[in-house]
Amino acid sequence: MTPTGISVSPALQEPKKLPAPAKRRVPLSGLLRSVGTRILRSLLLFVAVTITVFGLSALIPGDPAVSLAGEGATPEAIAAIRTQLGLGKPWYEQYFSWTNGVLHGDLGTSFFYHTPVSDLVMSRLPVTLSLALFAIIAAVVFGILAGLLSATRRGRLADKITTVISTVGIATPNFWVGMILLILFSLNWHIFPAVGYTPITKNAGSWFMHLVLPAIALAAAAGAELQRQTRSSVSEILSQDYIRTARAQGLTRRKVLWQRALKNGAPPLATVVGFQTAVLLGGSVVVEKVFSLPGVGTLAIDSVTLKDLPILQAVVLLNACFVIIINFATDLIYTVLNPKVRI
Amino acid sequence: MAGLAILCILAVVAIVAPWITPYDPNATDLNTVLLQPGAPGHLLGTDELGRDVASRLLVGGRVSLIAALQGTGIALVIGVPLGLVSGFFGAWVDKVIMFVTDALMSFPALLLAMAIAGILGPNLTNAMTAIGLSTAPRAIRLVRGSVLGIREETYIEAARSIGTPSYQIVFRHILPNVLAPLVVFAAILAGTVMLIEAGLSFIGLGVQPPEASWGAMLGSAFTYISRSPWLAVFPGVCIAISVLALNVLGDGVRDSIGKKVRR
Repeated sequence: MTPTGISVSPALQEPKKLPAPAKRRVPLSGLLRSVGTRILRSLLLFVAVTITVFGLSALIPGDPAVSLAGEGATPEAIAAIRTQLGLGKPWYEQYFSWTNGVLHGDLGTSFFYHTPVSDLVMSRLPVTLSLALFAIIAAVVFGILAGLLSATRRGRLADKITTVISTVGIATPNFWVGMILLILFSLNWHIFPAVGYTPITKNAGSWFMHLVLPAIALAAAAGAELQRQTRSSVSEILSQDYIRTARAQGLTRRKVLWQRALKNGAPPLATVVGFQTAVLLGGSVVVEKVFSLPGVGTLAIDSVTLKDLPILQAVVLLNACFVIIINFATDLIYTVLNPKVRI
Repeated sequence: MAGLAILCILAVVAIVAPWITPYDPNATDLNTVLLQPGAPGHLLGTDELGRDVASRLLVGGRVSLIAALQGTGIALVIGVPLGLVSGFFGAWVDKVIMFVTDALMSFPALLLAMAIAGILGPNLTNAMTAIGLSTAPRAIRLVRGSVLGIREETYIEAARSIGTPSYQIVFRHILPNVLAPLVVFAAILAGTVMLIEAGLSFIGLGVQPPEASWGAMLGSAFTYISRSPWLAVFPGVCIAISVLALNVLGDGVRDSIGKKVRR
């Protein structure tokens, strides 16, 4: 009993000596851990992608060397292909030798052009990258602006018109959009050049003019998808209580839209942009053909026609690597934009 | 409903196409080459070999629609069982299936389909197999996502507690509940498959001449684009209308069942 008459448990009278604090490791911040996990995952995906691309050769019907050499090929040509692909060796040896080459920038030698595939791809890459970049920027700018227009004027004429355009845009083959643009703006009105490409280093104006139509054709579906996503996510945010509060506090409509609605709607948009970029890379193959752009896509189509397996493998691998990098970047942007996500 | 109505009309036209074409769609006539639309006897004109465009559109539509069904069917046949297994059993099975799915989704579908179709050899069956394989990962993801939600429901727990075997739970309780989002997905996927098929046929990897499909018609129209631009108009419009109808149908079913299905 204490002097006050209240009994106190012995545990309270003599507090237990706390054990000395263990040496605590400084925890990695959520963001860093997330980045680490993502990098590891991307590397594993790269390995899986190389296995898939290498495995494409297993789909060749019959003897791959005979099939790839084509009709009327000489025994020497068949033997050369057999040696290059290492067909006599076990599959895992072939795989490791091919992957080792890929990691050192050696993508093999073209059966048709007899030059290193990496040189061929690198010479075509600026065309495809210019086109893809142009198209992504066009899709993001027009898609988001159209989506904001729809979200802020929901149910009104502007919303109806943009929604109809985007619904049609999603359903239309990009190469057909390209053909129609070609007919109207090149063949009929002679505003843009019909075919070909000028490097930006030679003539920036001509480079721009050659890319406008293919980029619009390629961006149409991606822009339409972004319009839909922006419309739905921004409309949802605009109906939230905190937006009403912000408006009641005197924030202008424009500030609410740009600083609150778009900022909070950005994470799902980043995901859509990432996914659409991957779709767009695939679509660029056919669009390049329509506008006779000497890019990687045209090279891929030619390689299919010529049965040039090393080129085909290189182009497919390159595109998959781009998609892995884009997905990694998208996840990262998503994580930065939305701190709740620390996967 | 509008999407469904358009699809029904397209399906009926596709079924009766061989009997209602005004001309043999593959019959060439070098005296009537590249006639403009509205020419006597040829409502939509003729192509570079004098073949009637309207007849080829009708028969080509049949090929394009069947191709869309084939491609979607292959994607679902691969995707649904794998998605069910992945979602229901979880653990390492799920991890492995999801990793392979992610790896396959790293390839742009059109490019992967082009590579597979190119290697297997250019014909429609190979093209549809390639498209089915390339789009199957999307089906796996969708089914898995739906199963994950259903797996935690009380009735599944109840079925487990009375000792119902796993396969019965999957087929009797989970699969019927996955069907609604799957129908929505299948409609939208069929539209995507149709677009990819058009792209493959355009570059010569789909249906082979003299057979027609809308994509292949665009491919041959492209060669004569400066001389006869109208040839490029009708097949493209037909593709857009069909894909639009499929998308509208998918959206309509989704809205009516009141569930958000991730594309």
